Amino acid sequence: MSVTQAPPKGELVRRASHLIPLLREKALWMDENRCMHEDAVDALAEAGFLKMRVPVRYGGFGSDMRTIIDVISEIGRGDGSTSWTLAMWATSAWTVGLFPDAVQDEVFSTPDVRICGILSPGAIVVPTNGGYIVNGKWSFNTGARQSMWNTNAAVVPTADGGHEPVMILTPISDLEIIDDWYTSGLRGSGSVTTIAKDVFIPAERVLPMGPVLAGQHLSKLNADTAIFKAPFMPTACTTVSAVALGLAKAAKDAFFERLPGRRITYTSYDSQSEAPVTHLEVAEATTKIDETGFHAYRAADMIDNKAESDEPWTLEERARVRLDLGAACQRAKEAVEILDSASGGSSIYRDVPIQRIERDIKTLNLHAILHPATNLELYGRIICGLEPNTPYL
Amino acid sequence: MEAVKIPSRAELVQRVADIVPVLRANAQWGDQHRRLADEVVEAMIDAGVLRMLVPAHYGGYESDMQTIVDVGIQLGRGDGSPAFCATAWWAQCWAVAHFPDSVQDEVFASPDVRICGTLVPNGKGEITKDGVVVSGEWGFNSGAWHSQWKVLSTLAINPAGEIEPIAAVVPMSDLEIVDDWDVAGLRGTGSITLVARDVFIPRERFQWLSEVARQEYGSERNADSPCYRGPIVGVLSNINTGKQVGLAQAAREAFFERIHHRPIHHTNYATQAEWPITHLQVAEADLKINEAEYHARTLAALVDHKNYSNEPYTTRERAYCRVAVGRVSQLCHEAVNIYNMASGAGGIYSSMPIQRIQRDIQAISLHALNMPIKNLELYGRVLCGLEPNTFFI
Repeated sequence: MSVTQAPPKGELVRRASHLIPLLREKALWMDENRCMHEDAVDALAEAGFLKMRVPVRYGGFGSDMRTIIDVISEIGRGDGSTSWTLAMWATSAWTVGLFPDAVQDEVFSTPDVRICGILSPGAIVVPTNGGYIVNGKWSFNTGARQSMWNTNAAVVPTADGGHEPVMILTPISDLEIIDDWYTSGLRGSGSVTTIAKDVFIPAERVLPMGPVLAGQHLSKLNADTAIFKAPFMPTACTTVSAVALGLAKAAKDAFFERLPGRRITYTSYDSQSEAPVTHLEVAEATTKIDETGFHAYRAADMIDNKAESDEPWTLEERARVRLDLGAACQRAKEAVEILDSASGGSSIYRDVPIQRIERDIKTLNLHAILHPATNLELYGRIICGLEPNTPYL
Repeated sequence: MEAVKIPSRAELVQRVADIVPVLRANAQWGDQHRRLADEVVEAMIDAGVLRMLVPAHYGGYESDMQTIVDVGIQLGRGDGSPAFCATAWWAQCWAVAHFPDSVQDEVFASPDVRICGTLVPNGKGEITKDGVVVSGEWGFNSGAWHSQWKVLSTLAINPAGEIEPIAAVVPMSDLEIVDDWDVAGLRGTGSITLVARDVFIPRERFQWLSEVARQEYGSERNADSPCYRGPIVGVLSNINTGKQVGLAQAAREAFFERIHHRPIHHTNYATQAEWPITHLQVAEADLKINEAEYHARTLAALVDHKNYSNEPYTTRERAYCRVAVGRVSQLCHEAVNIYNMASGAGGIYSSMPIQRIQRDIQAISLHALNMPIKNLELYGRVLCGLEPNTFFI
């Protein structure tokens, strides 16, 4: 296996910026066709973004979290669905890096392999000779139709009659796809439903979830690599916070692009840019976008610094990453809503980006792991001295 | 001249953290007597707070802006009024450091000198052949009771025959005191009105505003010191941020002291700590405090960078100085409101810190330099490509 030299960080961000015009051009198509455009998928691969979270020994870049935020947020300036899909692919490639090394050899033998992933257990896994049989159904399987593999959450029955959560890895070709992705937002992400009917999974492709969440990974070769030292939830949460940041920046770009020459209808303002109301709006939105970035990068720095120093994670720190994710989503949504409501009646046409950005950020905020109220409540419990009310942190 | 060892940032911050109990113990006295307790001023002198922006030549520290933020936070944790007076004194030390060196020799004869003052021009000055004769009155002189000098601003006719503001430094003994400081917030600052009746000020003790705006300063000795580089908007905005973050932190500390034994009356919750509403409140307040500190740190980094590199500011950067302090005010005010409203009726007793913190942060947010909406409007104008609508940028 050849080892690729990872491009310097600035180079990856430049490549992401370079993709923005293409993504903006395809965004409406993706919104209408409810999946990513092949040109966008190819462009992500060509830029090397599908290698960012792949272990270095397979030609991956092993990019740190700051780089991940830089790139995924920049892609989000181009298109929210593409940014979200890239976040899923990056996270799931990283998740495969937690599996035994023989499994990784198989999955990563395909360069730029695309792996989609689901966190909520939608299936039951039953032991059989040499492995397990899985049956179940997962909704919201982002990018499934354009992926080769799928990391999926499931439960396995335990001796005491209970269930233990596991992470399983299946080739997409083993799953049935139901295209039910008719949604209000993130339409281009093609987050369809997938079904497993009596699918056999070899034992090494089933990972108990408890140790995964605790940060105990099965890969021996990745054990000492910086990016694989981070626990699962902080890694996944920080990665997706970049999507919120990208969407908020996209809204600002979209607003300022339309501002010159726009009037405020039925008022005496000849130019929206001269109205003090506009000044309050753009200043407030801009400071909130800065704050979105603060939260995303604070979480990223925590992950990168801990990987460097080998310091263990406290419960409060894990909860703070969830808080940062919730806060990033909340501030980004507030910023987008301000700019959206300042964009006038003409902005509701489907070919005007701001209305799609607004639908995308709202959708992001409704995700069970990203929802601000859920994350704020969790962090609040911890700093009030209570136990967490979820294992997902 | 005494040789003074400049304490490290960590040492200075620790010293100020150590006097927090003194500030807290005297807070109610200050609130009731509408001035700082002598013990508080002495504690700040002993900790070195009042030397931070005094030239090193006179035993001052010429502190950088991150250190100013650190110390401001500690002072704000202690009590809003002394924190506010420190800001006012810092501002005027910084201003006097631009006067001719001979004036500084007199004013900074003690490095712990207190100089009160305000920016707003009032009254009038009659230019004479060797100085100016000034009459007028100036409100809001924070810390005046404990000051030896005042910087005032008034209007005079410049050599070109136009009306132009001047800034002048005068001994307190030349001024009359009007104790009109009966106010809702920041009561301990003793921000009384000072009156000048035909006070003669020698030429070297005043500067034309146009000279200040062009950064043509009278001091030769401080001309190359990074600490005293302009523009004034950078330093003045920066010195205002820390205390507000500190006040919000004080509200948090006061709140968490009570939650484990406070019942939520007329509900089934045994303590406030277990109430899910509390969890949302503390998380939301916490992230606002973190965001406020983020803006304070970003601003400090900008001003320090400009001071040390001597790079000129862009208009947008100058406007950011204003919006940063405005957003700090907005976020800290919002955070304190959350804690205050969550503190119940028990919080309104005069002996309870939360009610004073609430009044103090509100008073700070109403200050012309901090007022969030004004700063947001200015920043928004600049983002929209308009000219600033203020001289103070």
